[in-house]
Amino acid sequence: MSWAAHDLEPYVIQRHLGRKVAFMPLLFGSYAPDMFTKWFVYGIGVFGYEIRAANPARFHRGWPGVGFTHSLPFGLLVALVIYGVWRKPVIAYSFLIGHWAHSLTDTGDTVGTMLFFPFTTHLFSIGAWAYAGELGRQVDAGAYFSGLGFVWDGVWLVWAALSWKVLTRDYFRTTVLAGDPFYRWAGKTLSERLLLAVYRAAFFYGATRWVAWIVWAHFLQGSALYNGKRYKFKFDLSWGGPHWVHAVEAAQVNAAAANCPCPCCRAARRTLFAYGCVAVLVKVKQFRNRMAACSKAGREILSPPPLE
Amino acid sequence: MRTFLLYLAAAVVFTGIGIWNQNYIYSYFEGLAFLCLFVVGIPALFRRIKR
Repeated sequence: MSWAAHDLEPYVIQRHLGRKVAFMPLLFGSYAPDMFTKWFVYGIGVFGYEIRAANPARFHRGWPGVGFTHSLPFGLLVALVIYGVWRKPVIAYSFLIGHWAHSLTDTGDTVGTMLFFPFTTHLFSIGAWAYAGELGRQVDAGAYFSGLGFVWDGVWLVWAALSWKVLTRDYFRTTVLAGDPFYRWAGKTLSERLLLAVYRAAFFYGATRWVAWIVWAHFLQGSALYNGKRYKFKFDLSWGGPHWVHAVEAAQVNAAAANCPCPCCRAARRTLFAYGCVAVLVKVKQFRNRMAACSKAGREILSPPPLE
Repeated sequence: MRTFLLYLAAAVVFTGIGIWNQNYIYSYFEGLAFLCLFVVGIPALFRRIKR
């Protein structure tokens, strides 16, 4: 699971696709796989009783359970239903992009997602950070923000921050309003100031909770109790970490993942890691080129050529 | 710049609230409600009182 990436990904996608996507369905798609199920993973108290899944990881990602909400065909099915209701392709495929972004992002932890359910219950997992949802919200947060998960969220935070233009009023007027039927409809009754706040809210929420959880886990709390056991939040950026917490593995959730001989399980982790490194290097190079262009433009503004 | 500072203040306050009580940073809708209140509702109230 990811704690801030699902809030920030839509802004990066918006930056790259512009008017081709509608932001609200994109954001809704990004939240959709966990929207109605996450509360049952951690549990809630109702009139003194705690309602919670007996096996949170299986409930959340596996089968039997609601793991199908993270599958790519499920996203396609919901997108088709959306298309059937609204008859606007942009709403349907924007939802689909957001949903698939969520499903693929969640393959990063040790449980992974059933990407091709119902064709297979196989859990596709890169295993970069530990899944510890069964230990309650606080320990799960502490574990996530101590391993590579928080780095992953940090990458999205930086990437979204580099896409800051999508947060401006001009961009909202010229691109978001033009591409999103929801905002055009809401704009008939709500003020632009309120629409802008709604549009920026996911970025605001993702960035602030990322900072808040890190400060809470590492500078204030430092540890949390679950079932009488105290977990100390120590940074562990090794693959699959932090190892001070018991990470649930895909094989423990779905039998199909145990000793799986498929190419994904045997080689995907290394291959995907290599692809990830290449992608980061390309992004760094693009960023450096952009900074060099900005610097050159700045120099030209500060020292204009002499007038003839 | 004024709008940016308003959002920045909202971010600082919301981060503080989240650190103080994590129940407020579990759901996007809490962030949405807080931001709308902070950058739209409260300034509108102040403008009305000033008038």
